[in-house]
Amino acid sequence: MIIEGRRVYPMGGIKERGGLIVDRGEVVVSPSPVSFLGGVDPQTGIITDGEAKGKSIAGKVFVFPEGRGSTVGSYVMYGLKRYGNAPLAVVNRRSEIIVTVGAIISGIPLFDRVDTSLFLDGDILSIRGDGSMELHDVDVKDAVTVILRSREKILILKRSDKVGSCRGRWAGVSGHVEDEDGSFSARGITEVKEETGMQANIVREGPVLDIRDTCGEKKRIWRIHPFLADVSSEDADRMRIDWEHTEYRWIRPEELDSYHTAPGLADVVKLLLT
Amino acid sequence: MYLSREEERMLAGEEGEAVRKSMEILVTLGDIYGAGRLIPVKSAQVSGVSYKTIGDAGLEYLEDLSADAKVRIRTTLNPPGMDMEQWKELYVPEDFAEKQMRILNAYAKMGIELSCTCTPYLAGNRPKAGEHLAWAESSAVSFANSVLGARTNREGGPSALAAAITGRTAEFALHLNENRKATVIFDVNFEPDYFDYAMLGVVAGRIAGGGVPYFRGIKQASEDSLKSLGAAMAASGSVALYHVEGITPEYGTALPDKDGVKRIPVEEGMLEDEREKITTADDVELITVGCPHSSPEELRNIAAFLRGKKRKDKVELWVYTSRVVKETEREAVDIIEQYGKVVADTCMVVSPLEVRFRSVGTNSGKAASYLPGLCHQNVLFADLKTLLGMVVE
Repeated sequence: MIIEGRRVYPMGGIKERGGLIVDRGEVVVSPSPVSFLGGVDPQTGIITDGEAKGKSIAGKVFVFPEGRGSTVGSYVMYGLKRYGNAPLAVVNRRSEIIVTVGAIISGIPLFDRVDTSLFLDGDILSIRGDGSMELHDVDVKDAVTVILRSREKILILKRSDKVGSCRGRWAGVSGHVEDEDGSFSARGITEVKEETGMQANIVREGPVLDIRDTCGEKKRIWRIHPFLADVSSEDADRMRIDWEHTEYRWIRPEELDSYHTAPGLADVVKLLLT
Repeated sequence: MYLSREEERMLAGEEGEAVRKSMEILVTLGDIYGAGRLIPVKSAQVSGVSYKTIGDAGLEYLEDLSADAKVRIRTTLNPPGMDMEQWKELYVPEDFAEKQMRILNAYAKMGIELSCTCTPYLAGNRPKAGEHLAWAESSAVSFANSVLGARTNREGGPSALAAAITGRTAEFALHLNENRKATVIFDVNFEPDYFDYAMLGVVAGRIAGGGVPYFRGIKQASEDSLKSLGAAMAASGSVALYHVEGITPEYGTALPDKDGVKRIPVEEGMLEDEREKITTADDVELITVGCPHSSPEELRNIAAFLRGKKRKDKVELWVYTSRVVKETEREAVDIIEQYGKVVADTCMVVSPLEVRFRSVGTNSGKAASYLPGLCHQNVLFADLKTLLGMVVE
């Protein structure tokens, strides 16, 4: 998987940098923003606060959405370097001033404009000077997800034990796409027919979305092609599910929060309905 | 970003490692915020001085940096965590004092004046309108931009230091005319007195956030009132520039050409609501005045109020000011010292008050905002006469 990011530091300017800045570094992720002050111990390199508490960032590629908290955080990054616990590099979605200044005074490479939710602990990442990154051994597979709508409600289905991934979780109608499958929308209509018996009338195609598979065994990113489709109320009343699911429910979109869903479902629904 | 040939050389390390690192900070931040070039700055004011706020991490950074860093422009400091002359009398622990002195020594080694104040404009460094600066202390940034018409962004410690070492800053945000326009108008429907400005600042800062407030309806305001207003807005929000119609130097060009700036009426009652919301104590152990550092007029007013009155024993009084003002206002200082302490260099927010006190009274909107979080204090937010009335009969 190749990801295009932006190099913030080290600087170019004088002579452009092209080569590898990180060669197969191990990734450690904090899903939430990081305050280095009070959040990372410079003497050990261990995260002391938040969802990633207890993990070490020393010698790793530290991936998190953005910095937050006190400006003293820049000095804490310097402390990490001084005690030999600096990360190999930092990758952010958005670089803000605390982490940027901290990276510069500590000589820690910094990259941004990357979807940090694509990474998991233990991933192996190489980063080039132009900001492009290779996430090793993670494959990318196309898939369609169809959100069906009838009477202002959307359909969610609980995945059975017989499917390949995300068993027991709630999802939309979905299926992966092989090269010979033709158009994504046609594939979506076929999936709806197979999984629910209904005739889908596609009303909207959402932007393609990369979602990290956090429940399958494979290191995989799903390149989701999302569709919103209407079904008639007669069809909805007659619907049936096949072996891929054990249950289904028609819910209001705002109820989705209370279900344990496949990764990215809420993002897909949000993109299609707003 | 465009760099001159000299700046290219500085960035390439031809003037040493500290200059190279500093240029990297300025150019990278400039790139992120869309600056077209670097511009010369007249002075720098550096935050990150108190050991209480920057800790060992900051101390080590500054000591390492001081090995080859030298400032090229006039540079002063924010308050450290203690009065450099009378820290023992102010209950500062010995090991804190030792670390604090190491921080100050590192700054001195870089050629920085040990003039430690949040009011450099009252202590010999008063910028002129239109001058570009790299100041860090939020209340001083607000005063320099708003009351003096100088131009500075709200710098962090390392970026202000980078400007001091290179004599430059990246030209973005408040250095440019188009970013100095009002974003919200406050219609003030009463005539505020001195303490009202502190409360007004807390209210307006919370509403304005990082925007540029424009006040209407204020007929006159002393510099001390504006100092208090700006400090409070920089603490409850992150206001770095404001305008007062008819009073501050840039108000005439501050309103944007197009309509659509939000207007918010401010009634006197809103201030009292705010005061009550912030107040968490009615009986306090210590009265602190001088955030931002007291001006000569403020010291004289306090002395005039206290003179001849009988002191009560229970409540301590600490009045904060810059060392320069303390030394030039000997007469007022002598009177105040009969009733309490006149503390120089440091302030109630960045010193370790919590080692001795649990509840503090203050008339500063800025101090009232920070004392609960940074010093674990219950706060009485009240006007000067109420506070001094707890010290004397």
